[in-house]
Amino acid sequence: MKPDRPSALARFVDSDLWWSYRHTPVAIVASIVTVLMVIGSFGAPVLAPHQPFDLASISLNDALLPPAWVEGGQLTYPLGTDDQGRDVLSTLLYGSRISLLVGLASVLLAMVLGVTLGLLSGYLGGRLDAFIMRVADVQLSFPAILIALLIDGVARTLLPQGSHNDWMAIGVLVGSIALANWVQYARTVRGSTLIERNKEYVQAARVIGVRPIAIMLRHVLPNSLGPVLVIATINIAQAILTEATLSFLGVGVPPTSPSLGTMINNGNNFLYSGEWWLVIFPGAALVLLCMSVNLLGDWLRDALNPRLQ
Amino acid sequence: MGFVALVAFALFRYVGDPVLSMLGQDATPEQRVQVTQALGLDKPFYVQFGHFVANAIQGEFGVSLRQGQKVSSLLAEKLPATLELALTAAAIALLVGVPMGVYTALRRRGVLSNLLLALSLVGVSLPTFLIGILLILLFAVLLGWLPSYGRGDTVMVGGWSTGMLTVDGWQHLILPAITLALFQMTLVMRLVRSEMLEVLRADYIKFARARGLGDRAIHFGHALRNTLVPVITIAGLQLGGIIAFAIVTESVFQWPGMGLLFIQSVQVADIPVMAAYLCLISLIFVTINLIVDLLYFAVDPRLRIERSAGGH
Repeated sequence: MKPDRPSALARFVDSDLWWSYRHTPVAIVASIVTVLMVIGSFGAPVLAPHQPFDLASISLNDALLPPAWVEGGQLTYPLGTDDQGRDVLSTLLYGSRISLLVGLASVLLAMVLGVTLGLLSGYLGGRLDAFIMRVADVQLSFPAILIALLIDGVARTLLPQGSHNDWMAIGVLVGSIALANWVQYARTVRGSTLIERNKEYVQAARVIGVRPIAIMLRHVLPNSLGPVLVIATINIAQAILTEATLSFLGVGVPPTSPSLGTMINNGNNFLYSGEWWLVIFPGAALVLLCMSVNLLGDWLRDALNPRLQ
Repeated sequence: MGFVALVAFALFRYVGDPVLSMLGQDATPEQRVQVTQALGLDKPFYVQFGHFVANAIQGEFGVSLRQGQKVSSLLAEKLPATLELALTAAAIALLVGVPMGVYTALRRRGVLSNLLLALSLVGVSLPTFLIGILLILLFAVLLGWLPSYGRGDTVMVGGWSTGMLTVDGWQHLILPAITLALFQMTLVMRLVRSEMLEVLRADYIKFARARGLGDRAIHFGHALRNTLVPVITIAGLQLGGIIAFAIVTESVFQWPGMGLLFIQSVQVADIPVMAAYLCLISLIFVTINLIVDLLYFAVDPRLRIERSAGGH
């Protein structure tokens, strides 16, 4: 007889996490903003009023129009146009998509890398452990942005000259942000692995002959994932900001597929001639996105922290 | 004794780090060939690398591929600008951040405290370059009060070009320094606040109150002094962060420092400049870490007692 277990959804609705969510207004607002921005950016091809990268549909006659409510603005371009006549709102939606993609991908990559190394380091110990942790220590004493900048710069020089296309550049960017951020995950996972590996269930698994890889993946890993998820949420905002900074510096995503940082960089050139909307709108979108993800991360950290309950 | 060994080891490691990242480049022979071709250099990479190490020890980093100038003199030219910017920013961050932290800790329920805390949350989500752009937009473009780029008039004082002796130089320094300081300021403020709250709960504060000491003596004589130990440590480490973020600030304000030089070198793959900058930055980082470690040792008496008792 199978015991009668409630469905996953019922268990979730009944959980402390959901209760805490419903009773934290900040978390609700932040998650609504985040979801709206995610929908807006990933639905950009459908939602955007114009196709900013379709050369046939943009016209230089419409270049540098102010937002619709300012004198001289047009209703078809609610947030104005840039120097090439592209609709700022549409570019913004497409730009957020790239920012989000790079942020999520680099966090995911950093997480996989960090968790793997942390697990190996904690479970196997010995020289490997010493080596990985030493590298981690060195990396931790430098700011992540410097490391990302450095890796990105070196990788660019290494790439063969002919193969500079957009996806390659974005891949390099994701890789360098991930390599700059894996340390936190590795340290956290290593710490909890060191605790878990001496517990009885792990010893029992070892005694009955479960292979080390299986122990690591199926027994130790699930028990050390909680804090990793919290770090990952907070790091998403950080990764988006790093991407924006690198793109602003001109070493991030290529100008042909602009992210929010690239847009701000471009708008910066028009600051003195008074076209403020080219900077303000992408900047506001970036801050809104990062702030809501940050607030969500803060909430998740507090909600999952047993000491605060 | 273990402490000294650790410092020596750390020193060795940190200085070795750029070397590590250079070595990563000759991963495969093909890449090596491509790099040499791309840079128009006919020597194999490891020969150059050997030369590089030998020369770097003598402070000689070769010739910039982009500007055809010696890298060492190029960097020496830019160093004063970056240091002046970074130190001013650090001073602002501490001089404003510490009082704000103390205030928010003492007036925990005050309106101004909550406002400052909320603002610091925004500050964390606001990237440095955006702060810079907004400040330029407000003070340089809309109000026209301050200049927005460059260093202004500089004066040479014994090989050190300084902008701190001219009014124009100071005017040029204000916006970039504030931009760079803002993030660190929020950090310092939050740190001082949480440390202060912790200390105010301690028994010796209650005892001081019981002895009938005034608020002023308790807050500043007892609480703040005990708060400053970790703050000094963090502040020292943050100086490294300031130097790294100076890359961004210098790029926004076209401040002619090392960071701007570095980012221009990254864009055109000017390896000698990149390598030299990294060595210099590592050296600065190691020095800061060393000073902070020693400072910690000097400030916290407990560490000294531990050492005289045999050490670890």
